[in-house]
Amino acid sequence: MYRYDEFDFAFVKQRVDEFREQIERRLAGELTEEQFKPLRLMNGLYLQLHAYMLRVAIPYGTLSSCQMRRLAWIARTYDRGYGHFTTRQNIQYNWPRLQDVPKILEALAEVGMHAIQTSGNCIRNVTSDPFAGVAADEIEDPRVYAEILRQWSTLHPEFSFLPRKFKIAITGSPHDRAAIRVHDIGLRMLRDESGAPGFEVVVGGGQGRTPVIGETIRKFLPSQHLISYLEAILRTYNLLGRRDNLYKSRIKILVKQVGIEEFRRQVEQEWEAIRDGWQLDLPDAEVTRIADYFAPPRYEPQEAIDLSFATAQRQDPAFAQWVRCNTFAHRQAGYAIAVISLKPEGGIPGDATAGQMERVADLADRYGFGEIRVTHEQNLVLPDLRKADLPALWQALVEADLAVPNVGLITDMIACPGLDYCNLANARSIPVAQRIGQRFADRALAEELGPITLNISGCINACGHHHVANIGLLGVDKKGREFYQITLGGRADEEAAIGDIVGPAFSYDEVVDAVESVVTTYRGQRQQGETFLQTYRRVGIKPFKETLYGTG
Amino acid sequence: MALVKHGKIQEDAWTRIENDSLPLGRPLLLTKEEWCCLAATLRHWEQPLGLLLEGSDSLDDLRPVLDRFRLIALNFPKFTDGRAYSQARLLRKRYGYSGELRAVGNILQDQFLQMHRCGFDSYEVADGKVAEVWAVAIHRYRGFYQSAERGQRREGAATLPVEQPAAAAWAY
Amino acid sequence: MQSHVMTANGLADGAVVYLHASGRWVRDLQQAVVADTAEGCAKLEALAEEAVRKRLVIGHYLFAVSLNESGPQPIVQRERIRAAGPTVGTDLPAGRQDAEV
Repeated sequence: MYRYDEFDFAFVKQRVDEFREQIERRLAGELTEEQFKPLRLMNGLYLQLHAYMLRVAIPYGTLSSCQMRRLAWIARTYDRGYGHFTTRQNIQYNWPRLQDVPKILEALAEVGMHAIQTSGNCIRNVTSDPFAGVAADEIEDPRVYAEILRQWSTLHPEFSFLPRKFKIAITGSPHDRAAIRVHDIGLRMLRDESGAPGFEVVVGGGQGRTPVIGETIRKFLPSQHLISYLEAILRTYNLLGRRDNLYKSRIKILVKQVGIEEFRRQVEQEWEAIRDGWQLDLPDAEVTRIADYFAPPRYEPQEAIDLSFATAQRQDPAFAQWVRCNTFAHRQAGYAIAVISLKPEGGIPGDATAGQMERVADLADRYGFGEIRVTHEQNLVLPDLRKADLPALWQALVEADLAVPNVGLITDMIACPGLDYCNLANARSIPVAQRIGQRFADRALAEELGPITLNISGCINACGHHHVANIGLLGVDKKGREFYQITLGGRADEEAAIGDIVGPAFSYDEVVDAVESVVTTYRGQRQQGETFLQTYRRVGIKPFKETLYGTG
Repeated sequence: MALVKHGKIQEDAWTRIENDSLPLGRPLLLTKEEWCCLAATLRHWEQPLGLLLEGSDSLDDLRPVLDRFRLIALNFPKFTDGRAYSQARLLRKRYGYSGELRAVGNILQDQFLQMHRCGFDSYEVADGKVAEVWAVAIHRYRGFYQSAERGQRREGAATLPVEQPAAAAWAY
Repeated sequence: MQSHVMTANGLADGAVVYLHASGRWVRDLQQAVVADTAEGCAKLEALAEEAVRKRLVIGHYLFAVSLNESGPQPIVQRERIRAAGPTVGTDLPAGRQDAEV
């Protein structure tokens, strides 16, 4: 993984010093809250319902074990002993004090981390495939370009006061695990006929109150032109995006307003003008320097098939289930990718205690080259595990309450913090997730249901990705009471789709029964081997409406 | 209001059209609309001319006449309105404007560095005290991650090559 | 008129606070001063604005309460959660301990 050199360390330290001075000026009355707010947001600091909230960047979801230990230490020292992993592969602390924030940022800077641009109307932390570099189906490792984009976007002088926030996601695999079609810019790596690497560039996707699946602005962009092309898009948006209405200021609205053809024309015109003269392309040596950091670890060559792994699965059905649900194909023979679910049935999706973070760090050191990933589904990943080590790893995870075998299943829910923490929320998300988790706590049943994504947002801003869930729940406020609107049929992968609203919302007390009714309908309609989505696509929304509302 | 240029308070010599009369003997700052009306009138005007542009003003059509202007002032109606950063870069890099570029309107001292990097030279600020912090702001960072009008882009590793796992290279 | 309480967050620590009859800010909603006239609300508003100027609090606003024997009770869920903390139903692990005000 990427490691900071002297320049990176100095840069982040300078940023901490700058923000410390801004906090001092705020406390001394030299900055009003109105002036301070955009500055603190660009350093990841929000004011939420109960307290400040600090969102720490985990660039493209990649962490070292040492960094994870530091996150745990911060949780214990400056917060309440836990952290919340987010849908943008970051971590947020719910209780920091303003006066402690410089110390937290210093502690992060020591291990090559920061909170730069995790909020604000700027280019946010770039997200990527959590299986990058190890996925069996990968065409090209997206981390090299994710890191290049992290560097390019960091304190970009021109793009720090955009009309609105700007999110970029990048994947290197045909199977999209980074939800690139619901980002402001989505990048999918591919190769042209000559084998040269490049990107399909998707623009104007997003969720929020106006969910849009992004459109392809360029089918193939040679990789050396990535930065100049993105500058062309960002400049066009910066100059023309709406600034008069917060809800119409994302790039997706601009693209819809002028149309993708006209938007493409403007971007390409800008790009033609800057592509060659502005010296934006990174020198090959710099790309190589960054790529070298992502060289694979020293895998042990596989000399024979290790039977102990198969034997352990035969002997222990719980281990076998965990292997089926939580491990994924690795590009290296004899190795596997394991997802550590942060979704215990009845627990808080995405939360990890300091002790759990430390345990994961220890296991990463012992079995996985010291590397950890964060997924946009709010789970953790150990990307490089010998299959022969999986039984011992699993045993250790069981002891730490981290061995829930539910990745991709109905209890692997995405949930935003909701009204329990968030200033914007209209309804709670976490307790709904907890109750659904308890309702589907039968692990054999959950597995039998097959892959189902169930995502919960506490308001129309859609941080819980409900629009792109197979079963989406959107919390709304009806005269001071919490209600939940259900959508069906959404998905976030390469066939991204926005879910269909099934009908009137259900109350907080009714919503878990309503979800169970959806699942029961699916089971009744399901044909042999079908997933929820396949059944839904075949039978449509009508049977679900009928069981939920008794109407046609 | 005070004018900060190169970290010092300076006299602002520029004047605007007032009460429908062209002031003589001083440099004249015009809005784009005024320029469009008066371009013919000002063909042989000998005092320096400047342009005051809004974020919504297009630049393309000004390209042929840019060398008429000694000053271009870009307005920030709110400090969170970032259009002028792009305008500044286009003027400097695409259109080759080399005269003075000034930031006016609602700006914070915390934005000096990024304005400087986008090509601004001078700043019209509410409180002249901020002139003192200009130099600090400009020199806070030793280098940057991207190329712009000013500020060195980092090129390559600053210290040790990747293969060398020396503790000094990274603290973790 | 509906009874109201003035709330805000502490500038330095972000904590939820309520305006007390003494003009101080307290953590406990039960101790908050209740206004039930337009003039009373205006007075709380003026006190809060003063506290913002003194950089004690940020984000102040009035919210509706009902009154029972133990004091003011929030009417909407958001204010119930602000007053009592997250409802997520698991014991939070040990971490930084805040002294009560």
